[in-house]
Amino acid sequence: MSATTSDTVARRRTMTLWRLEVLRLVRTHRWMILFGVYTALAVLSALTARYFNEIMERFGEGVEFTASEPQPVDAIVQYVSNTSQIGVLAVVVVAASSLTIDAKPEQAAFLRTKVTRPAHLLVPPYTMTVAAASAAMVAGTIVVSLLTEALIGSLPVWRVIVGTVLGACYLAFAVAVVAAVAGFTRGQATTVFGALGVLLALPIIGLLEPVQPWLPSELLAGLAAMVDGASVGEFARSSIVTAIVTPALLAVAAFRFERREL
Amino acid sequence: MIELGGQSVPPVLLVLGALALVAMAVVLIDLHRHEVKHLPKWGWALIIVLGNFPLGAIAYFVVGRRAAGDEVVDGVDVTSTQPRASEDDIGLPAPSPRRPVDISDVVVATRGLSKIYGDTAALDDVELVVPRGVTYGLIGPNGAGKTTLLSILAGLRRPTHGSVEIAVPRTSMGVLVDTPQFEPWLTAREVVDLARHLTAPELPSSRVDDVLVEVGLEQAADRRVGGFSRGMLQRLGLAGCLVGDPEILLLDEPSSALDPAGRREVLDLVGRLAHTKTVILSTHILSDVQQVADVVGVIDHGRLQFQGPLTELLARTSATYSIHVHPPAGPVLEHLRSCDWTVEVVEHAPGRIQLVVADPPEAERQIAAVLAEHGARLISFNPATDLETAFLELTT
Repeated sequence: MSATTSDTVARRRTMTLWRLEVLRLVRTHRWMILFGVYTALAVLSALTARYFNEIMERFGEGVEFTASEPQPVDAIVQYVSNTSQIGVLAVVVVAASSLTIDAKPEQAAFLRTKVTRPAHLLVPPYTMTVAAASAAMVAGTIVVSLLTEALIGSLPVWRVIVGTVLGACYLAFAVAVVAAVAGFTRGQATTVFGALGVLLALPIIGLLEPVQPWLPSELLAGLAAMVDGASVGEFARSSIVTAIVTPALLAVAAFRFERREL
Repeated sequence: MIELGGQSVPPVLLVLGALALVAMAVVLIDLHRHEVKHLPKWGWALIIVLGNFPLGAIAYFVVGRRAAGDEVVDGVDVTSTQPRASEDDIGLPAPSPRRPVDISDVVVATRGLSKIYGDTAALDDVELVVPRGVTYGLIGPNGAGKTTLLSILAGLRRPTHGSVEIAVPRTSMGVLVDTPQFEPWLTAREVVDLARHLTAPELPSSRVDDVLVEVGLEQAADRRVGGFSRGMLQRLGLAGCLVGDPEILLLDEPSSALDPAGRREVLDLVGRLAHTKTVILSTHILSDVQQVADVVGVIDHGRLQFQGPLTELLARTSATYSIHVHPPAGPVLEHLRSCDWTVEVVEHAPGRIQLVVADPPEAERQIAAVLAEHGARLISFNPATDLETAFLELTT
């Protein structure tokens, strides 16, 4: 082998399961779905909050419309409201595409026959999806914060940070739900619908007042609540439940994945 | 009292709650590691989690947990044993129609292996014995159970009954499914490097290039797999198997959908692996088996109908050879008809002779001399011993 070829071989990055997930996000442009959705919603939320009165005046001709001056918290509430639906949907779709390893049995066989414990195959896609989703949410939060600062007024930084962390915890939970559902279903579409069913059921369960503070879905609204003056302690119960349920869901996913036959 | 989300909670309750959760996790780990009775594991997990802890956990320990040494009824024991399996600890296949093979060093063996789907037995009491270093051809019609058997050997499915003993770690087995697929956005090199990293990370990355050359994909190494033909995917799958330098190769119909050139390449590759690796090859193309296999297993309706050396299977039918010489073949025909080891000599086309013999070894020794004596210009000499006939005898 020539020196040049040797150098080329040495320079090549080893292909690992982690790199596989990075390439999945990059080469299939899934990262753009996540970052695109979160940043677009961030821009939209800040602009809507700032120009809500003007928009209503323009489109509501002949209708008397009275509204208070826009507040910085309005933009964050708008952002959380939008991302809790479309943003979570994007995360679930992206998570399902990487966590439904058995959707194509021939591809699954290639990986399953090369590891001692098939459950190990779940760790990189779970971690990378949570990381990418959290990064997209952070990017969106930064964009909405900067725009709000410029257009409406300043936000309490530490409250935004705490609220973002709570939101990231919820995303870790949501991706774990996808992983667990993928343990029971093989296809991507069934996994998406199953996971959305579970995630949508939580706010409905939350209508029961005694249960509400314990639900992981409370964390989703953490950013808006924190900016609006809530205390961190209000999210202690839902954080504890999320911290327990998320690994439990991953354990279910690993158990089901190990037991599944191709 | 501790304030938690605006509510007062006694500290002792928090401590007890945390202890209960830890204990539940320990019980679930125990459940994962042990065999259970009466219910599937997920059923016991539900009972433990939902069944009012600790009552669910107690029920599991008292009723559900199978203690070591318990008799396993309908048990499944799929093991990967490091020490070599020997003739003493691996049962020989049952007598006729299954034939014992010469076992001195067995790497794969199954005992009473069955796989049942609903009312259908995909595998029925299969006693496979694969000696080290052989190319084992598993033949059978479509739906005979070949893929199911290979999937169980590969660990992709579990048997309903019986056990599998493999004398190497699972990571020392290369598995090629019949229609390999890969992420279309990966390059061929990345696919093979991933296989190398997962199975033999200690091997240098130059091994990837060597294997790609070996399977003839060096020109396509940096192309994305999405544009590969079926044959290229098959060769890439083989590269993924070979890169970890496995001791055993499980190849499921590796040439079934390839064009003649592709088939030739794959069979040549398998032929080159002969005696350096143990190859278990399933196919319904009998000529493939005849070209590369030392030992064959004939499977039909989930049952292993025959197992033994290929020569033994061929000997079950009349030994037939096909000789092709430049015509005229008259003198050769006359001579062959006069030999006491021939049964039938027919010239079915000018220069094309079908020869049925009574004593194949003697025929193989003598034929060259007969041809040389008459100065016949030989084009080809092939055993036309009819594997198809032998196969049909066993499977119909």
